[in-house]
Amino acid sequence: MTELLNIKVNNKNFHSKNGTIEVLSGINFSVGEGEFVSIIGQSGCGKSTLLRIISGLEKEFEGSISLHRKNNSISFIFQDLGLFPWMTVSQNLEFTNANEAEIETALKNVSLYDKKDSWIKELSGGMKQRLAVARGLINKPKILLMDEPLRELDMITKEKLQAEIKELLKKSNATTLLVTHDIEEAIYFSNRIVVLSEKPAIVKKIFSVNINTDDRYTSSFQNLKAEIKNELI
Amino acid sequence: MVSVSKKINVQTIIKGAIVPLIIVFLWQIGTTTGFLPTSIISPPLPAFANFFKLLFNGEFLSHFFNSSKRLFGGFIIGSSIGTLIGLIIGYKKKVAHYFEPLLLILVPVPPLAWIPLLIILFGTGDGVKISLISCGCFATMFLSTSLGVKGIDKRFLDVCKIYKKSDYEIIKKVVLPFSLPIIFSSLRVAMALSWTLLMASEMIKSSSGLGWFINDSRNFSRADDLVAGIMIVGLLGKLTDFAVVKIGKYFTRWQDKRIEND
Repeated sequence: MTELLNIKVNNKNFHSKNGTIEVLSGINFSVGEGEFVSIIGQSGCGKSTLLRIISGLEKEFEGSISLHRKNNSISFIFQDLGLFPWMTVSQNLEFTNANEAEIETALKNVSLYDKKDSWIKELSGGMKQRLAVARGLINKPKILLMDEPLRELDMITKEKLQAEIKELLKKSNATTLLVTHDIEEAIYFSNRIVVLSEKPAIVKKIFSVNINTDDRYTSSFQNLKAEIKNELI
Repeated sequence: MVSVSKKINVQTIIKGAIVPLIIVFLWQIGTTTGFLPTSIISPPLPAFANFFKLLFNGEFLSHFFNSSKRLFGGFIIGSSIGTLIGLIIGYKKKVAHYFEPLLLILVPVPPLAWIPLLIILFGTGDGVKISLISCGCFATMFLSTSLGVKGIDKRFLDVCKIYKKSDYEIIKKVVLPFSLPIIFSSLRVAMALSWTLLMASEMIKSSSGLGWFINDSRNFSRADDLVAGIMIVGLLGKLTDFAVVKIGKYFTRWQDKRIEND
């Protein structure tokens, strides 16, 4: 697999009135083209900060983010989705500079075409997540960053959406980094899983997922889950 | 559902009418007993009769049109400039560093304190009245809009950065719509202030307008005109407020009222 992204964060601090907090330290891993990598760690360990650094939203850190191909478009699906409530469903996609045909296809892909003129407040939680995914993928990004996009959903909706997203990602062939604290979700999607330690977060272990992840109830799936859980605690 | 909402509306109207009816009743008693001199305050019935007579009086309508021109002229100029500068200063910290300190010194100056300077600049005609109302609206809209914009949810700006939007696009498509609820709340305040400043400016120096009409009625002891004039200004004030609320509701119809109520 060709290496697309090299992530190296030696140090990232946050400054507050109470002093300086070291959030990330000694992060070093690569991501191959078309690969799906999940970053997991306990709440507040700095996973989202790492994703913001990779996206370029966070610029103050020691280290480097190297992209091994030119013209890499990056897309980001935020934790709280960042959908604009004053825009309709299709206007939210228009904001990405997508044309009408692209918007139509994207909405049909996530079964939201009949909601194209609805306000965001008129969508259910699952619909909002699907719209955020559609917005993330509409520009056919080379790199897709997802920050716990399914966090607030109930288990049934979450599993249904995970399957839909997996299908969409297969079609898009985007290199994807997912931040999550849900081990099952990480195994279900990923080729590799990066486990971060608590603050300052360092890469504790990287797991390769070499099993069939479509069925969550196989012993291999559950064993891997237990192994990752042990590493997290 | 319809009958429940109608019931609520009727109840609301009845509740809202109780206090005015009590005031009219006390007013009638006051004028009948001589506690309120009828040479200054007309009894309710002649005042109401005059209220309807004035609505169709050509001379009064010309006062109404003169006042409307000043009111809306000042309101539109001051509010639009105040909102625009509030948006820019709230969004661009670099611009705020240069202009905000000066504006924050000027904003607390009571609008009426500007009158002598405005007379020097614009004379005593419509210019001074329109500019006075503009000053008041500018201060109200600038302050609330810039504060509203500063409170923007940073995740929206992150989305803009991901899609590499220009400052112009961010202000137009994100910052402005985000601020619309606070802009429309402030426009109500600016409209109420515009009426206050219109009346003050027309009473101080004018030969036409609703403020002048009320003041002239007092000077020449036309008690029924005085009270009817005040009632008409109150009614028009309510109508303009209603219009701002309705327009605001249309432009912020995307808002989730459940969140707003929380």
